[in-house]
Amino acid sequence: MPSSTGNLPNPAEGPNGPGFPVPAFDNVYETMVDFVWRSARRMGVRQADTDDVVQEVFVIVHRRLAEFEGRAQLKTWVFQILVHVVKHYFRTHDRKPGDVASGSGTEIQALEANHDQGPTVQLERMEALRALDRLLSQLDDDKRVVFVLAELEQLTLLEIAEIVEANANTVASRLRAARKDFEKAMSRFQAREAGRKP
Amino acid sequence: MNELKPEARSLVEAARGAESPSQTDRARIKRGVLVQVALLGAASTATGSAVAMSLATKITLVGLSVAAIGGGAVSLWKWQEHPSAPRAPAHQMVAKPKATPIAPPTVEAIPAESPQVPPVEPRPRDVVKTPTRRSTAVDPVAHDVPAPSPIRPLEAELAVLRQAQDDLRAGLPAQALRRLGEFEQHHGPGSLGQERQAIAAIALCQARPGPTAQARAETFLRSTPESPLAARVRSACEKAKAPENQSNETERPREP
Repeated sequence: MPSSTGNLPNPAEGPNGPGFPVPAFDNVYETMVDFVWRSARRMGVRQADTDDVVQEVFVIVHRRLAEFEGRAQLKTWVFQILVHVVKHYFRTHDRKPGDVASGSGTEIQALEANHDQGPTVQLERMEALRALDRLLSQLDDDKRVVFVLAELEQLTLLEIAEIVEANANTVASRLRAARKDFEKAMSRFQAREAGRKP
Repeated sequence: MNELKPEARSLVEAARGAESPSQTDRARIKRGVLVQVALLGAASTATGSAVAMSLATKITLVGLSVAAIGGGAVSLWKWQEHPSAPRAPAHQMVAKPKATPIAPPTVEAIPAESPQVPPVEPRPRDVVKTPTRRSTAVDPVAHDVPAPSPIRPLEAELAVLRQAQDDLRAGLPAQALRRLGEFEQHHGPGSLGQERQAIAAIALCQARPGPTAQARAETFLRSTPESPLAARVRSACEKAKAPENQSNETERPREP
């Protein structure tokens, strides 16, 4: 899109400081969109709202990209934005605890698009997703975020601490509690499932 | 730190990475981002992010311009004008009739690497020139000339919408109408017709309140009641019941 460059800072010498290259939005988007989308879902954003949340995240990324100074990892920075957007989302939306992977729509499409997996593997993964979402929905927000970042996205405690703006000890203790709650929820879930089987 | 038990661990591992957006999802969301950024404009243009927008973005826009951008685009104006109002969700851009709106995050909700958020620079006006009129004459060698890239009309359309919005903010509804009319004359219906109609209805209500403006607003509201701009059109045209001969500007606008 044509734009006036008259008042624009040189990206190489702009708010990032001299020499720090501004990452191209396209690259950031392509690299991060799956991760942001997936994490938004696992954090409990409803499927119908996921596109909006992801879009919101990337609009902010686009607008603030020139401010990114490279002190944090790009992924950490983007995730920080995601956490804020998701928090805002939950402030303005009612929760639906039962809103988990439904086996329809985007998830199914994504799974179907993965041709290198057989139908059995796909179904198993779908089931795993459903179960996971149910279990995650039992965690409170803070624990859920930490659990998703640590267990699913495999970020380090320090990265998570930066994202959630807490110290590493707090994050470690949250993660410990989250794992415990997750396992309790899993036991309850398994007990219910076992009760249903003839 | 205690680790997950093997059963829980295997569930997590089975689910990890199992879900990701489809190509269509990715493209749709990206288009929503770009449209929103283009219409809000200021921050990204002023900070230079737009400079980083590569050819790949433009190619993406080309690929996406065929699909309806729908109510999402101008809802951004709605947000811009009424920050507390809900903005069009991304999935409305693929013509879903109803959607749950998401309010924009508050400024304090946006993390910045630097503790102080720099002030947003004023938006450079008229950044993009409206493209000149295309010749409609038959060109004997037209078949040898590559077709014009569809990115241009979409870009031009976004620019015109943004400029018309600026005109409205500056209290120049007739100028907004003229701009929109010229665009339609030169480019036809375009991809953002609904948004242009909404802005034109608002502009007409501001420029010449009266039965004509009222009728135009009603036509828009009847045809696209689900538009995120509907409330804004309704509100702007409340005054349109005033006599037709009243005008906010001395110059009589040409209606698009």
